[in-house]
Amino acid sequence: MTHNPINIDPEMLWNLALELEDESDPCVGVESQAFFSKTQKSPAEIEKESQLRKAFSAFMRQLRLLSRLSTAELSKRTKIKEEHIKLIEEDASYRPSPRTLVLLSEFYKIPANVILQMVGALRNIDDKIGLRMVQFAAMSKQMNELSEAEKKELHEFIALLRDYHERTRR
Amino acid sequence: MRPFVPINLRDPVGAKIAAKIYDGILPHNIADFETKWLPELRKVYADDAKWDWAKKVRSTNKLLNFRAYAVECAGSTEGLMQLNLQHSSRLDGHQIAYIEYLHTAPWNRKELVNPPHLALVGISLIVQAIVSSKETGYGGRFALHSLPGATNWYRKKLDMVEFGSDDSAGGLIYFELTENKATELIDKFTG
Repeated sequence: MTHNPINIDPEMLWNLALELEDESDPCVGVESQAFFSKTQKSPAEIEKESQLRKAFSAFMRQLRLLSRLSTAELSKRTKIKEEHIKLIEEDASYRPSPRTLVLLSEFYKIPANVILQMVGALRNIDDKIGLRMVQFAAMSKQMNELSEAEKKELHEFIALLRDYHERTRR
Repeated sequence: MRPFVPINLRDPVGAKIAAKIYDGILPHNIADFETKWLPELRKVYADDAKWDWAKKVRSTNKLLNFRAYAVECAGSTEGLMQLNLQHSSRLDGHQIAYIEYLHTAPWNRKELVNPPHLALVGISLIVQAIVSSKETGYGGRFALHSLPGATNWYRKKLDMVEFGSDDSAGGLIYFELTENKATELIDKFTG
């Protein structure tokens, strides 16, 4: 069954490995999931997380539009790579690093722990916030500008998040 | 002699560290997993996590369709991988390699230790999967179910074909590497 063996050049492999390296570790395996995912998620939890991630992407886009910034401008202001900003807004499966989330939280003046909850970095998101977030995302449209009603809605949602943070700090 | 491939890993200050990918997982690798890895993992992950990995390795080690690999450095097990060589591609139904699991030691995992004690362990094992697939006659093609933290790496860095999440695999996302992409990668590490 075995064909010709391949001769790996360690130096070339080293260069390739450096080229492929990024912030995540390649991890594989259904067998490993229970162990490496902290707890095994039920299908309902997976669906909830998926909804929250989509809502988070929509929310990040809305916040940028509210600030009247392009992705390039936001990148310049926050020092986050533009590519990462686009991934956050367009790819719900993308997992931004904690540092990126903290930079976004500082820029938008939204408490970091709320942002981390939204993106699923922390477990047990408050159900009220989660539901509101999903409802908010469902209303949002893929437009380049926000309507006055959308701006009002967004401001109310941000106020809710800040209020939630204050209440949970006490 | 146990066959191996020499590789280089990277220590926290950026220096190259010589290591080997050995063909086969032996009892001392399983012992390292149970006595060195597990105590560290239990500090971080759920205590009640059901984990029968060692049992699975013992039961599949003798099966001809499974190939297992261990990365060792200075006598310590730094990474483990098992391939199933009887897996049908979802692209065309042909046989391809399927990575049953790929684990790196907890001290080499960026999410737990950053910078890791030894970087590039997982990537080296992925390359080994491509090599094994090629040597088996599968053109370097392989498939896997990615754990959540790694999906973007398979998508963006390896440009694997994504098939969405599998209910039968706990919602994990299934990926396949095409022969063209495998060939492109093989050209980058063969002299």
